[in-house]
Amino acid sequence: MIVVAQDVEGLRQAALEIFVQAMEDDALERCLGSIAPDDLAQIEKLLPKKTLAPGYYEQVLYLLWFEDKLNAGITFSEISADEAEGVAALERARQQFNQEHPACPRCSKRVTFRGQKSCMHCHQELR
Amino acid sequence: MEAENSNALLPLDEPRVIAIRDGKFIYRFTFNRITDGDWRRYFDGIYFTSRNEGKSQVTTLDMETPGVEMVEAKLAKVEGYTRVFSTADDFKKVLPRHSNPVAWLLRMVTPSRDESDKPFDPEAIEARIDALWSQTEPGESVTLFKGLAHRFAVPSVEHKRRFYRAGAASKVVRGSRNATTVYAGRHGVLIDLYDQLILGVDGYSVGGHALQSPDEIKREMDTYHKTIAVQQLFNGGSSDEAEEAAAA
Repeated sequence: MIVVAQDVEGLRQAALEIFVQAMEDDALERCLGSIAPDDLAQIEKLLPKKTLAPGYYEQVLYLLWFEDKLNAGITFSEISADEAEGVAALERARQQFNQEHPACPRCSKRVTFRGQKSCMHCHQELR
Repeated sequence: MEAENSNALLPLDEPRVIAIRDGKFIYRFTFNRITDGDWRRYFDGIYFTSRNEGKSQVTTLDMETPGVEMVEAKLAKVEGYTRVFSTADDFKKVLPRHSNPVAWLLRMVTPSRDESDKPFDPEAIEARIDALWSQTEPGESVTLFKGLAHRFAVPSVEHKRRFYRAGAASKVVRGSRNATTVYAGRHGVLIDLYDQLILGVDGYSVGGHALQSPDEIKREMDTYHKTIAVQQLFNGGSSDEAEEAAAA
């Protein structure tokens, strides 16, 4: 049995998936808007597949809340090792996300796939 | 159809009676007082898991088993069967189609839709709940205690952290992928937060007098009511099955 809060690598992966999913949310909303609301088969095809057990994503959401408070300068009487490692895992996931999906220099929208030559939103050429 | 008990106080120390109808007959279940330990055992028994199946998430939530176990453990008397049941061995013979709805009625506590008629207090946050305590006659008429008020000190960020952290805690069985998440019970944290933050209540009595001091409230308040009220404090919202499970 794995204690989710102590599985730092799992939390890093879950955080990366959440960042990618957030990036793709707008496109997903548009696709969902174009299909029938009771077409469950189509909806299921569009939904992102989660590679980890549900508990990982819930722990990442807690860590994002916690990190937000730390970034706002709020101090806590004590920070557990799990929380410290978890926040560090978020940062590593964020660095990987930024490397794999850099922002367009003109419109700041994220590159959605590797090797993309121009921005899909403003058509700015990407190096 | 509901009958409100707006002027009566909910008597925490009086025996609870739940009556149900099955066909032509009425069955009355009288309970000993459900203690803090009884409620903690109930919450410990809740089984709450989740796993991914393809792109779907399948959640399993068993509150019935611990609910029925609590009914069997806390019954004092059952009337309506061919004879009066009054022993522990008797209570194990109570039909599941009776013990299950009775267990649900014992837990009929929800956020209140009633607005407070008191002025806003900037130094306290109020959570209001509606609750069934006893139902001496089955069927159409249910007596609810409405607008039971729990006034809390304003939570600190540490309190909120404990609440969120407990809600996210889980373990995973059979590896990290395609595995089952088993959620940790957080009722201990909820009860502790209630006891730390409670300032006063309205609508409850013990020994014929209204509950007054925080110490008396911590000692006498029904633990299930504590968990529902404090969840409302932090969530400000509904208390559906997932909330109850999350309290487990």
